[in-house]
Amino acid sequence: MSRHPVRPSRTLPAAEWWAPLLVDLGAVQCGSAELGLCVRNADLTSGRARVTVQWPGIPATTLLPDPEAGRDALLRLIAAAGPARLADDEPVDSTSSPLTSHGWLLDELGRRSDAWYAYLAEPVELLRVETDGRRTTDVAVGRTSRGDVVEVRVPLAGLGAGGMDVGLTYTIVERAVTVAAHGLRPAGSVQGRPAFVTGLPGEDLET
Amino acid sequence: MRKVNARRYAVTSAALGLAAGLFAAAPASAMAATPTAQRSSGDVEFSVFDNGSGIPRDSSFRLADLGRHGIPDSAVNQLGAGKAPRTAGTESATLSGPDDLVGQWKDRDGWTVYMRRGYYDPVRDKGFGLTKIEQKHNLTMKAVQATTQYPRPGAAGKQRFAGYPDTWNYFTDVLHVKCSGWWIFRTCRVDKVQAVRAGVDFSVKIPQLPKGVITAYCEGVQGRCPDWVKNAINI
Repeated sequence: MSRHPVRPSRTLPAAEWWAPLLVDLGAVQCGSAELGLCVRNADLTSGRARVTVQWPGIPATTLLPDPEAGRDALLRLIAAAGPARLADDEPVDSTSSPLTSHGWLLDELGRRSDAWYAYLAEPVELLRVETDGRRTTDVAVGRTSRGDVVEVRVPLAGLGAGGMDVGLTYTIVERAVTVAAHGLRPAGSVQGRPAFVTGLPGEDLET
Repeated sequence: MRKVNARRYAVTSAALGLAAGLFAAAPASAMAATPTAQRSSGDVEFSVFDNGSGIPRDSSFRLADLGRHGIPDSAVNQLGAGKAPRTAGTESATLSGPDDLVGQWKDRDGWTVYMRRGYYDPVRDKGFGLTKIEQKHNLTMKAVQATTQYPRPGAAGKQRFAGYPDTWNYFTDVLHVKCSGWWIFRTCRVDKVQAVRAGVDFSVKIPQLPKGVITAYCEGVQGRCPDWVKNAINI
């Protein structure tokens, strides 16, 4: 009768296993945007988190964090590769940088992991969150029963400002299952499954 | 045997008492609305939020037994008469922005839950708060309040989803009931159960108070919850 996470978090049994990691990554990304940190990719496809971080002029580094180790441990891991700190309590505003907005989105995705197993009738899974660090972040949604993947492209300009985008996670997962075929653009493959890209509802697809 | 008879007597007395109260309370002008033999028989459907009082899900029960589960006698009598009990409508207020507070109450554990006006943009499928809850999910503030005040028992009904700040989900079940027979002696059975979930942020400061209820929805139902969820007779 009740729905449960596909793979529950050890510390938050109603949340998905990756949820604490994304919230913590959001805090580090928001706090370190001015230091140039870009959490380029959070890849969850293997069932173990692989996080790729990058700074201007420094080669990208891929880390294998324990998703439940806590934000201090995550900060230490990332700070070993380059400058990083945790966010203070300042909310995201309209003047925030795209990297701060990307951090806000990581937090939002992690905070509402119920969207991935309780919100829709169709099963979906979060596979990857990847950004270009300047304009967009792609959220790869596996459509389990269809055997494919839809990457929902989220524009970063102004994202999270004033608290008006809260709940965007629900918009993203619903978009992935309701988008019409003509709204999908082929995008190679993810984890061997055919992948497509689409924009948020009512927004042109940014390239 | 004596015990059984005593119970029968008690039930009959209770029923007669209800009937006497009903007729005594009804003004002459309202007598036309009192139960008739025709209206008082037949099928009745309604819904209730499971408030943890033990409404049977796998066995039948009497309509009159609802009084033991916190349903007011007036509502039981109205159902007995084949009428839908009146449920409160959504209050509207003059408000200026999405972050305006439109309600606050204590949850099961005494925590203050805030409800903001929010907004809903159907073209972009974006929004939060009461406006999204009403327009996209066909729920009401009272339904969300009931979900937070009567979640499933124990830790299962209220679970943490994230810290820094805290995000929690509340879960409860709404029971759809069908009854057949006569008046308040109708035999009833739960024929559908719908899980309802409410997500609440407790400490984001926008401004000074938490963001509060982000959204609420029927599990596995894309878009609108069935009307019977928000029309439950005990909220």
